[in-house]
Amino acid sequence: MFNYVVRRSLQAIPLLILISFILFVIVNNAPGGPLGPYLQNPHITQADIERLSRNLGVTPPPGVPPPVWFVVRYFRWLGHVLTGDFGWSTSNAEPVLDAILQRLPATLLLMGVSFVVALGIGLAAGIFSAVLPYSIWDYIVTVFAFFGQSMPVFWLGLMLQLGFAVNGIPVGFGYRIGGLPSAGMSTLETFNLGDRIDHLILPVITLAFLSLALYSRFTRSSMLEVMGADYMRTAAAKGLPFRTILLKHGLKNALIPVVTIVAISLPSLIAGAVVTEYIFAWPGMGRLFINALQQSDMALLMGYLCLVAVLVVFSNLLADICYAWLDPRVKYD
Amino acid sequence: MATAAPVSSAIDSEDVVFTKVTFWRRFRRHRLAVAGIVVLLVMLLGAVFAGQIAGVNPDVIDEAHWNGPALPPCFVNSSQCFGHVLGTDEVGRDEFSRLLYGARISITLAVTAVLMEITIGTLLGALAGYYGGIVDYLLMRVTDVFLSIPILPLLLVLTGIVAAKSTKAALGFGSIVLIIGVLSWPTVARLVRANFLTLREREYVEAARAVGNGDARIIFRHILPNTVAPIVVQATLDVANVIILESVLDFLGFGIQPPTPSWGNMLANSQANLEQAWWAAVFPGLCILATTLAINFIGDGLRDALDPNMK
Repeated sequence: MFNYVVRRSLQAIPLLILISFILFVIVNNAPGGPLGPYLQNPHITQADIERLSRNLGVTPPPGVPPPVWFVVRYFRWLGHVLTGDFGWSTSNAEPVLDAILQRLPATLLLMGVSFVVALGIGLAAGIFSAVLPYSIWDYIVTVFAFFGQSMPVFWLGLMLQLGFAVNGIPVGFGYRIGGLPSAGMSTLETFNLGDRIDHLILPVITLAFLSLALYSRFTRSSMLEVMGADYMRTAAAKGLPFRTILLKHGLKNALIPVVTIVAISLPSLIAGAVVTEYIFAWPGMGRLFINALQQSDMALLMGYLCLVAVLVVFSNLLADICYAWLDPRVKYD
Repeated sequence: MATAAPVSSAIDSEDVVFTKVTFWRRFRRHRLAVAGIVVLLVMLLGAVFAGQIAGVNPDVIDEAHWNGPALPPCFVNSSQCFGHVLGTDEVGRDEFSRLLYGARISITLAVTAVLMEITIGTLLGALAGYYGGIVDYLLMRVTDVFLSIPILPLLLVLTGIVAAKSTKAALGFGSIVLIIGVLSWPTVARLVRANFLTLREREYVEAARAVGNGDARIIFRHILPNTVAPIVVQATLDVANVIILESVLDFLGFGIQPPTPSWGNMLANSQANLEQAWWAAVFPGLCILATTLAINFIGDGLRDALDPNMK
């Protein structure tokens, strides 16, 4: 087991290097190259650009062919990144890492709460469906899962704003439910839990919707498979109560494949967060990313993509390790 | 995951000969898929005959009646809609007409991008799965990279770069298709590779080789036809995914640019006018949802019909 963990972790390193190299190539092909943002500044002359280009090491020194110099620059950049220096964000006028770390908590809050909500409801709905397969409830859960798969996240956000923030839904006698905040993370200067929860409701529903459908569908199919297993029949034959059979024998085994799906769904959760933060003006990384995009702040885009790639690679690694740990049948070699 | 499922079961299962009749019999059992076909047909007809149905140019501002706020749909206020069945957007262009023309763009773009994705993915996946070795190794590492970066942020960065490079302010249809196609082939490549890995060991492949068939013939005539089912299913589901992906791109302002209508860019300004013109936010999204839902149902029906063993 220990060897397996070490070997899988070591495999992640070349992958991350390859990812960062490809991202480096992409960003250096942006218009104006790495100095692109400065080209848009009317106060910076052509002479300044050339000086910057020399001083920052973008222009190859005499006698060095450009492709070789490109690789040298990549390794220099990698060296900086490994020491936590992702460069200077022109759209925020601060180091990229600072800009990202400042917004990270807001994004983690949004993604974390959405994840917990999606997983909780998704698992419950999936188990429920599998216990009563082909019932009306199962049908509803299945159709709902299709909706989740087909729903454009940003439009769901708009509709929630329309329904619960802008107009409110009329419930008769002149009353309307709604009045939830449609933008930002807080109304008050000081932190207030109730206020924070109010601001979280709509973005969390938006973001959780997609993953929820995915989790419920996979839990259902995994649980259905387990329900037909011999050990479930044995457990029933022993006279164990239904609850114990379902949760201790069934769910525990059914969750193994779900672990992988949860890890695989992380990229879509991150992408969903970008859109959700944009719609709800949530002050997180996704919004930072869109701003950087609009102002072609390449250093920040690069930092964001690198960070996200690291997150995804590690979550996949973690899923593989969990899988091996949970399922003794998995061979380590 | 579907990738691990045996592929040949369409032949092995209870139907000795898998015919079109078998296919339809199985497909019809999936009622939601049949409903999906109907909805998709309506959308396609609307897209094809947009000019005949709409009657109004989607880019023209109704200067005679529009004077600031968006005109409401007829079912909301029949005296104020001035013949605009679903009202107008915030600059006075007919919403219904834009939806029909938007369907053209959104559906054509998604189908073209998926065709491209399937072509690249199938070719590379087939090569990797059939030959193995260094080709396979390299391909797997490249797909690892693509699958580790969420596609939406990467897509946004690439469209930003390409748009700025092409000196035009906006990306054309072709560039968007190209970028989406190039970014989304890895899933298909993995699927095809996995199927090739199992199929290349089968007796019929050995037999084909024994009678002197070349590699190309074995790949395209003997193995590929047996792995068409999962590819078709994947392609169908991906059309829905690309429609959503592209609408996000348009919504954020990095895709198809107005005045050309697409379902995504019709929604772009609707957030600011949510209070005044809810219809401009509701209808394009409903079109996207109805289409993707229909396609996903069809994909599920296809999966059941083509191969009951697939998950």
